[in-house]
Amino acid sequence: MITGFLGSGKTTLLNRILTEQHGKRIVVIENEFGEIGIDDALVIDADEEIFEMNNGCICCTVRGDLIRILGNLMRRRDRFNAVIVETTDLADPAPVAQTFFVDEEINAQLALDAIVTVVDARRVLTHLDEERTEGVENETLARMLRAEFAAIDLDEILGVGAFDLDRALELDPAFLVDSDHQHDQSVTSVAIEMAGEVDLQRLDPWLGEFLSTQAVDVFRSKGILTIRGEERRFVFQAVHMLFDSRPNRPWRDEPRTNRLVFIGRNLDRDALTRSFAACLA
Amino acid sequence: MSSATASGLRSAWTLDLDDYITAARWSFDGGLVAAASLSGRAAVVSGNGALVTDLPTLSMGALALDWSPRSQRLAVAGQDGVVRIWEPGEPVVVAAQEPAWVEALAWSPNGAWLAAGAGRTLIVTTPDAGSVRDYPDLPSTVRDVAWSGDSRRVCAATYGGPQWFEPGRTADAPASHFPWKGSQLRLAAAPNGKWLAAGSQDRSVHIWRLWSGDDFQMTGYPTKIEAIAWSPSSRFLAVGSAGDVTMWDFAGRGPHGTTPRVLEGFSGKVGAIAYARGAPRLAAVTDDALLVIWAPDRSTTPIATVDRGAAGSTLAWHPSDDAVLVGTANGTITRFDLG
Repeated sequence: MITGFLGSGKTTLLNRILTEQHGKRIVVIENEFGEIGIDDALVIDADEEIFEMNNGCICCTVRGDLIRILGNLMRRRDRFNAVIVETTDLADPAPVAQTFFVDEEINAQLALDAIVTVVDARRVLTHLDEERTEGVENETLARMLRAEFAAIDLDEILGVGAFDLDRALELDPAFLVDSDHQHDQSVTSVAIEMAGEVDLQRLDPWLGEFLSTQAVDVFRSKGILTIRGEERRFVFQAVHMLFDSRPNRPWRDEPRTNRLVFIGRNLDRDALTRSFAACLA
Repeated sequence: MSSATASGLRSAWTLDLDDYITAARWSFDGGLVAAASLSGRAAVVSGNGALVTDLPTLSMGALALDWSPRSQRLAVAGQDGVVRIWEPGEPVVVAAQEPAWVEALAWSPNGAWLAAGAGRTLIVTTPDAGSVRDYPDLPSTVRDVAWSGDSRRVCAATYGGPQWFEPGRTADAPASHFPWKGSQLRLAAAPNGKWLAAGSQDRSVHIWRLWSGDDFQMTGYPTKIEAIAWSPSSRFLAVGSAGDVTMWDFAGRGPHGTTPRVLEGFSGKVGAIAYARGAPRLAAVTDDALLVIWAPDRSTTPIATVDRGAAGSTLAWHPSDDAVLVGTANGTITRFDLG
């Protein structure tokens, strides 16, 4: 997904990606038809349609147009390797990102690789000093890459797996330790560490029920689990109700255990520990 | 060309339309079959599988088709925004041409009107395209359209809740709007005219009482809901999700607060679901390649199951209830006769 201010160079970067000899078939989804006519790239016009799901839960706000377009693309016999979503200057990137988690069909067949924001270095300082609406932060943990006319090593921005939990764990071994700074004293975290093998048939309904009934209170959940009959570690992460889980690398020479962290309000440590224990085979 | 299966279903013929089948339907009398594919092909076939005609290729794919309930009149549309009407022996009529995908088409029950969703516009036209009404600037793309049983009102599934329009009147404003913050994917109006059901993106089924707008929803499904069907008597609403089909009983006060009957026999996600017209039969196609048929008033386990070799995308009963038409993700349509 490519975002950025008007005139920051999004189209320059897009052209750079599409003209590179990478052999990939790329679909570009834009809010307006651009002037890009590149072989092997299908450009699709999208009309930004913001849908609030689950009775207006903010983390479940998605792009209805993307669900429709991607759903249609994935059905075709003619396959593609990658999709680039270029957003308009004023579009909120969050609903685009959330679409990849909320719609199960898209989640099953596509993965959000990265959000690349193009910034005009000459103008960025002025914008950073502008008054901010409440809730907007300019601070970021993203990696920054400098480039002139988008002349950048594409391996730095394509196929980087910025949303890959595996990679998050490699970059930040303390990922599963609660380090989120909180100003709100009512926000607590519950960490569970327990040996044993989890029965997937019991885990799914338990997590689903817990996250949907306490969606407002549970800000963040993450964990590494040992699943019965599975040689690989099973990782999951959730932001409110948005939930992603999958097997990752095989267990190495390390204790096969289960570690889970929940961060939020009104968390009942004993009840959580007990109900998770009931998911063990 | 025909072959028997262990299930008592006999495959009569198969046709390949090169890509994902978006729709396959029988004409009102069962004499003809029409099928649409993402390859852009829209074909009319006789009941025994012989090609009658290919409609003009729809650039980027054919997304929707519907037969008139009263005649051999067919409407076809797709990603190129052109709505075409075909009849045997007549030239093809272009009923509408819009700069947006058309993914929903429905004839009114009396065959007098054709409704099409083209982007954010609902179009209603007469069969000869002589009178066209359009309702533009709806809150989002029209995902589905449905008619009231008396053919007076047509409903557009659009974000913010279904909106009903009366094409027989000149008013542009909706005659009725059922507000709801959510995205409805499939509409089904109960044949008895009492209910509107909508399968939704947020993994629920939403129900409105016609015309009070009183509503309730069934939540907790594991997938978004794109397969819903009313039984011919309007007593049951069948909902296809992953791993099961639930049947909600609308007798008496309706299903609010009740437990549905659960039909089993497959593990994939339901792509399409349909009741037979007269016989107490319900059929579903799934993304793990099955065609499953139940006699739901007798048992929750299937009376027939066939592996189609590819995910099922569309399904239709012959008007006589003795055959079903199945379209798949790999581009085939097959007629199965019930033994």
